[in-house]
Amino acid sequence: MFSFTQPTKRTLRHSVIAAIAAVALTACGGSSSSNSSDTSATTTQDGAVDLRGQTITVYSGRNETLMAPLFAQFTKDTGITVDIRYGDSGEMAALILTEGDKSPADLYFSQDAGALGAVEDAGLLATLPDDITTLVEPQYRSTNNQWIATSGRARVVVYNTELVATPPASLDELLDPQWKGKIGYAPSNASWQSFVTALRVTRGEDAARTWLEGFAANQPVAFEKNGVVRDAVNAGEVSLGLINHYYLYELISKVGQDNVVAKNHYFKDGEAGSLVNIAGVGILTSSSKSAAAQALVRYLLSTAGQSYFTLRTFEYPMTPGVIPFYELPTLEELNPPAIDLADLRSLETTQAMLSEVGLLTK
Amino acid sequence: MTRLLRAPVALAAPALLAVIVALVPLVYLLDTSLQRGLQSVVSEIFLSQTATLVARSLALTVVVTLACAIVGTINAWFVVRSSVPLRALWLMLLSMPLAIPSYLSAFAWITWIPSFNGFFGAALVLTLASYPYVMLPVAAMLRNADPQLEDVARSLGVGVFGALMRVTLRQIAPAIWAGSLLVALYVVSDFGAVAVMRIETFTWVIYGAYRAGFDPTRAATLSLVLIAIALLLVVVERRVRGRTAQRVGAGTARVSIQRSPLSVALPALLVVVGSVGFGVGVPVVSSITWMRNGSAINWSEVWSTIGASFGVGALTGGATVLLALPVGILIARFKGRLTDFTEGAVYVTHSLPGIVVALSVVYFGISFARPLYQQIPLLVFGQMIIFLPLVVGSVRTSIEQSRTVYEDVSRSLGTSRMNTIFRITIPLAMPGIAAGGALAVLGAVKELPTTLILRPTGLDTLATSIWKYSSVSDFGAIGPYAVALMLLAALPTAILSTVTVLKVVR
Amino acid sequence: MSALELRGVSHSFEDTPVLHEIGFSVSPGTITALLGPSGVGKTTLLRIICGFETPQRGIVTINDRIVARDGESLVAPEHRGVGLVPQEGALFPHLTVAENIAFGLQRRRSSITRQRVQQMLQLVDLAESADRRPHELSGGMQQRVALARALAPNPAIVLLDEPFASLDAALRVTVRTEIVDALRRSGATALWVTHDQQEALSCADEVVVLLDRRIAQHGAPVDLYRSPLTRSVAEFVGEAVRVRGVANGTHASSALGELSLTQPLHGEVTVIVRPEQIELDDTQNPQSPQGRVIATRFYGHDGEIDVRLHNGEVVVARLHARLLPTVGSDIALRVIGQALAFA
Repeated sequence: MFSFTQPTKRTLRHSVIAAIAAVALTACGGSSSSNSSDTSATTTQDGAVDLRGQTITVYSGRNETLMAPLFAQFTKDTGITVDIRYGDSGEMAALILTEGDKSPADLYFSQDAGALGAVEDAGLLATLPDDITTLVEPQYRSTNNQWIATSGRARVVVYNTELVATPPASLDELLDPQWKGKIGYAPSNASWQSFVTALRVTRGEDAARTWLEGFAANQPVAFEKNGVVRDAVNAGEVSLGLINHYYLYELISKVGQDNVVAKNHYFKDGEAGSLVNIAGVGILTSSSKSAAAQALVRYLLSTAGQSYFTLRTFEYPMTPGVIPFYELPTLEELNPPAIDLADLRSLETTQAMLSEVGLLTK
Repeated sequence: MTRLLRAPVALAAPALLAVIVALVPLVYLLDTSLQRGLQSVVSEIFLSQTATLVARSLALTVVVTLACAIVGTINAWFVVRSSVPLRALWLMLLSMPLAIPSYLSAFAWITWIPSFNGFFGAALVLTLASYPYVMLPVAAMLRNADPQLEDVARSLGVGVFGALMRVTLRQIAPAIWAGSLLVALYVVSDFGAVAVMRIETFTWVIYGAYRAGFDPTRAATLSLVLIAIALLLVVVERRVRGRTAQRVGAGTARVSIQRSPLSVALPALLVVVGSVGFGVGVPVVSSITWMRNGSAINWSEVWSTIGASFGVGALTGGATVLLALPVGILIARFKGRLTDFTEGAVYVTHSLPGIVVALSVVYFGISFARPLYQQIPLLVFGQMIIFLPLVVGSVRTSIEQSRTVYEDVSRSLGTSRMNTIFRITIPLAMPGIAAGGALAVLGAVKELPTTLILRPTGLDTLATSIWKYSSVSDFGAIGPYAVALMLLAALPTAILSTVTVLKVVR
Repeated sequence: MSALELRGVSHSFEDTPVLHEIGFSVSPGTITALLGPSGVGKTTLLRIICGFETPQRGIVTINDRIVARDGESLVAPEHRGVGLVPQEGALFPHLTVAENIAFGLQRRRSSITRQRVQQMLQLVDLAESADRRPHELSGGMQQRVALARALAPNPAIVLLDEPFASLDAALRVTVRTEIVDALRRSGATALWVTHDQQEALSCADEVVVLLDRRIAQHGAPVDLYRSPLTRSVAEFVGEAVRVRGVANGTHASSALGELSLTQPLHGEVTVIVRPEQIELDDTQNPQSPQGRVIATRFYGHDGEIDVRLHNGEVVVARLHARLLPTVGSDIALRVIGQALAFA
């Protein structure tokens, strides 16, 4: 755990979170009391009293080590107990699809927009109230408002500054022979596969395949996990790595800036290489405790929740009130491709294509 | 056919229950795959890609099974027939891969040699993980094999090696086949090693259909193909087993084993050292290294996880033995078409990946066992489906080995058929029952996919903890759980190996 | 009253008939031997009596109670009151000697049971071995425990299935004597399955000969030996010397001379005498059959010679050891007692 090795930093960060949370809660309380005429806000306020002591069940595709402290804080703040089942996002989706309308889950928390889209397609997600959906830009929630993003992660090229003076400026420059055998990637990682899915969506199947074939011809080096790719770049084993933006900051917070020679490079070109994928939530239609579930969604999107993601994982916050980690470009600057994130659910087709060009399996 | 009808209700009823239990996944698969109509099932199965997948899965299965048959037999021979000192210790060491989950072992290899992925890596890891399934029954049979036959062969002018190949190998062939079937079914169902080594087998695609395709219908259809492969394996094994020779003559073989001096056993020693070094050494050393490189360990969490794993393992072991006993007795003592079917049904399920079994339990549990849903009983139930064939096989073998005359005498002494089972059959089969129980405990302690889906909310086992930390690449945190899992699993493994081979339990 | 009675019992496995119209009875307190060559269906018959097989036709009665009739088992094995002593004893390996003996007794922990076990241990002379395990006993001791175990619940009949087949020859006679003694002392009824005619003749009150799926003869050992009903019984029970002959009522002429017959017969016959009926004839009687010794076998206290008669037939004679002639000598023979003849 990156924060465990640096007790001073952790303490510092926790106090920051606590401070922000306190401010946010005050703000929330203030806003709901000031908007007492608004129907949804009234519901919230009345509900907050009723909801104390309720228990909701969350199926979480996000990892326990990350999520447990946030859920614990939610319980402490709201009096709503949360039973959390952790698992793989996709398997959780399969579980909900199998359980159907008898699912004991109230809320589904996914690492990935595609899985949320699949559950939505099965008609198992309820439409979220407007006071929640309006917190987030339309491209980061479903068109039917049945799921909503809670944080974002950007695709980057991480590069070793000692080996690389000018990182490639676009996806196609990655195919340049000068990078032959010098690019690291994590073929079984879901975010890499999401990036390829976005490539298929933006460029079309044929063009995507051509790019992948070119990439394969450049003999990229496969690693087990994104974190291992990052370490390999930092150690100079490879020059470039295709990963998500936050892995670099994990490393920095673990070993200190002085020991890191790797740096993130953003394409910012509206292409799949600038994809911002999300983690998000949806409330199940079968839930009999949707008020409490909504309270959790609001909490995740509150200043406290958003700050937690920002500070703990360096992910992008989804609400305008919270500022991203200072080293990150803003979401607007990133210029991600204009695609419907729900389209990322054709992941299996992506895997088949990756296998065919020899980038996934042997 | 008539035999099963003649079997006592007290046996037939639980055996029927076992069949129903084993058929739970099948019913789920049929219903789920037919959701889009028969046409889509047929077209899915007859995709050209399916044939390639079947070929690749079968290739991996054949390679691993063959390798396990060879490595397992050599190791068994070494333990039983060479003059190595500390025989029991070697036996336990060689059995230890049973205590190591395939995903952990694969993970250890891939972090050590990252380029090790693909067919070869998967074949190696799976071989090192599953050769004990061959080694243990073969060692047991070698120990009981009649060494006089070898002597006769040698007196007829056949050399040591020739006698081994032409006489001894024939004698232990049934054990090699039975063990190989388990290996083959396991390889077909494994996802842990396959996922880490990134080889596109059937389980890879089935998991992909769940995780990436969010398409349980497609996953179910593909799983039906897996069932067909398993059926094929079971039928082949049964055919061959029927043809292999059993020991003739009354009484137990007089065990006066000729031990080969270590100089003769040197080539075997290489295999043995390789098995232990690569199969046990690599994952153990990796885990310890992770642990030492990791940060402070939360011991209370580790301890409670050990408790949960042990509890679930013990419950699964007990429940599976209870269900496997009547089935094993029935198969061993009331042969016939219906018992063949029972055995086949129980075995075929073993080929399914854990997630399929788990979702089939979800499918039934959510409707028919709601109060137990996501509770320990349904978790145990799911694991029972997976490990039933291991225990049934173990029970069956040991009952078949005990002579029916004991039961006849007991009946003639005024003891009813059921009482005879309790007073004679079960006590005499105790080593096999204990070994079967140990196998189920081991399986449950290592099991991940079913546990993840069926566990009570908030329950962490060693396997789920390893999963939890490995998915955030926190190797340091994996270390203590991996070490604890291997230590915890070492005990049933030791029991299993000594009981199977040395028959400590009477 | 009979302890065991079979009437018209027939049985086959799939299409292979194994038993045909078997009928005999065993009187209480007697030992009957069921004698026949290997593979004749003796074990199947035993399993039918025990109840592990149901005869397709016929009636099995134990203590005047019908237990099986025409393909239907009326009494389960455990309620038939038969005590089984299988080959090699088959002592339960997980139980001690005393526990083995107590196995068939009700309320195994009661003092009555303890007394009965003691009684049985004394009967087979194994009182000191009560707490030993079967694998610590010799083969003969195992057989005695197996008998004690079978006798303990006081069965209607004890069934012994080739009980000494696995013992070595020297031990066999001793153990056999001990077992018969114990059976006699306990007054039990027994059916004793064996392929060893010596065992059958020496131990049983009556012998049932099973040949070719049928009962060939049933009678006292002496009658069986002296008056076999068929040639195959004569040849199976005891050693037989066979020569061709022509019968004219009470006598038959053969290469062994004029022989007095046990039963009158006419025409060409096979004459059978026992080797011990043939003696050396030193009376110089010119009528005595002549022959040349072609082989001798020395057994210690006695021996056998093969003699080629003048017409080429070879006969075997059993002689006292000191009377054995050397190979190649020409000798004269005579036959003592009556000869058997079969058409």
